[in-house]
Amino acid sequence: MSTITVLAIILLAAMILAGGVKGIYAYLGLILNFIFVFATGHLISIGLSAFWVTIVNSIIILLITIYFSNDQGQHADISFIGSIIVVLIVIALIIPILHWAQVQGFSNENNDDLEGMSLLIGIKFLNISTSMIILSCLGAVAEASVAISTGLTEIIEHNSKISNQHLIDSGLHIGKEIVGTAFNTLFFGLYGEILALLIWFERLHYSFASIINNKIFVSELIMTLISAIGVILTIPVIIGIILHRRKKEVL
Amino acid sequence: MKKINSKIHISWLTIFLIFLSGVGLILFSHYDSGLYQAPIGQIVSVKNGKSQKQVDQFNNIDYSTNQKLTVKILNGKHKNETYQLENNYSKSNATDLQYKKNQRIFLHVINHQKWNSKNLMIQGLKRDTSLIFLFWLTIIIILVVLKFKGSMALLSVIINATILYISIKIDVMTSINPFVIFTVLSIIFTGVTSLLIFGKSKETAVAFFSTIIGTALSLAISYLVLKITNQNGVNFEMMEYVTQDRVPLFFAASMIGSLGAIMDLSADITSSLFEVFKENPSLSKWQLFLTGRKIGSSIMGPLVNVLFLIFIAVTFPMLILFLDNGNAWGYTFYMIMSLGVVQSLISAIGIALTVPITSMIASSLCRTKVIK
Repeated sequence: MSTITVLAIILLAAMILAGGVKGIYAYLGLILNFIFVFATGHLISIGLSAFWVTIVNSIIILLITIYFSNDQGQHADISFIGSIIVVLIVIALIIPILHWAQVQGFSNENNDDLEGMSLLIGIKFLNISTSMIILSCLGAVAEASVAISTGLTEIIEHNSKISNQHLIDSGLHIGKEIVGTAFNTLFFGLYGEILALLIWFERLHYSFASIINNKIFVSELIMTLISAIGVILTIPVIIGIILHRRKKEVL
Repeated sequence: MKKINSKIHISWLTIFLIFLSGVGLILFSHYDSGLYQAPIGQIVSVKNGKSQKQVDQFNNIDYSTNQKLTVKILNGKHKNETYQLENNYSKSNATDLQYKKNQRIFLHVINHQKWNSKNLMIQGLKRDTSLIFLFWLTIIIILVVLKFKGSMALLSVIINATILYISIKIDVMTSINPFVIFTVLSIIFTGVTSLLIFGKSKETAVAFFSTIIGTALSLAISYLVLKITNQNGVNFEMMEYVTQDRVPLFFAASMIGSLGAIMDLSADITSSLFEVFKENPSLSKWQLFLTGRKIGSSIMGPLVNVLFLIFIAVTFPMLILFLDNGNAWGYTFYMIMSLGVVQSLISAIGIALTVPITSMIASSLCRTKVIK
């Protein structure tokens, strides 16, 4: 059996141990996400518009991530709408930033891996980078929006007469905890991701100046910072949706 | 991050001042060419040639274009001199760039004796301003949304980055196995972060030990699986930026990459479980364990997805290049994605195992009295 198969079976066992039926759902969600990320790559490679493929698949991935790991209900709907709004804002930010920083494609550090390959594939790597950064922030945005909307809907359930100001305060309080949590996850993820690259820089005596202008380094940092911005924006967006729903007396 | 109550609230005036200083910093970085050793030029004018159609052996159609750039030097002895440089770019921009007017670029001088257009090579774009802008934007958004409350999150990021930097120095200067160095680093990371979250308390000990046990267990299991299956279907050869032994480095990277998520999960379970116990001290150990497991299992799914999407998304450029170079799906998966998938699986196993481990440790320790 291949290594990946065995690890996947162990993961299923561990998830059942951790969450029973909920664990099975989380596992299925992960596998479905896997399929849709692959599909995104495949569809872009055959020449479909990277932007639209990513938008459609992102909505599907958000749907899976939010509804498969949670009890359904109003808070899941709020998280889903909130995540889509945040992702749209983030996309509006990603496009100008990537046009400015021009970090698409490969750098000199990749030369060994590129040997013998045709680089003229006719697909704009700028669009591939955009798609990569959008996909990488989905998980963090979904997690944050689920956490905040679950917390706030619970508060409303316990005390339906709570004032809007109190609700905003509680939202910001929960938000503060979420930001701390998400930052650890994102930045340690980044440290793990660029560990080999940082050792490379150090070993080959890159200067500070060449590191902060390096294509790959800047690209990885943009990825993490964009996700971080997405997580923070989730707080006001979710609070806004809940206040809006209260006004219309849905909540 | 639970339980951090910074009492300092900053006023809008302070935020405005930070906003202004950021603008200053961004402007400064735009005009900081004088600080750089390498020559920097600004593109004054661009003349694009005719695009030429290129078809490669896989029938990919691309266009390549030659451009003539007039570049004004911004620093050094040759400041304000202009040179004519040439650049070739493709429509896809895999390794090349299409330069535009007003962009700033790094130049490489082949022969310092002779400064002329033939001796100058374009090395790449100056990207520091865009990076500083994004850092500034992130900080401003945190401050505006959360006032000062987000500062602990930033502090933890900065402290941990510093410790990481020191351990990379140690790794490069010594010949100690990188896995050993980064294991020590991870233990320090976990200690520092748990202390930042809970201060000196029982919760810190619970979060610390469950993170370490969860991470260690998932690494040990994965290592065994890799050994027993003989790394079947996993390609370490395509690991990027490798300057040393691959497998220890891979495990070190997987360990650090999942550490943040595992710490957050165990901190979340710990603080909620202690809270539940405080409100309801009559709960049995088993009931407390089940409560912890319930909290953990609902966070587990989203957390696993966060890391998975990060680890897989970064393979995208290489994945698409590989597919368009006439490679079959299975082979592409093996070459490009297998490592990212294994890394995601290692972290996912760690995250899942941390749920029962933290619940168990927290439910047995929350009863005991603190020994000081």
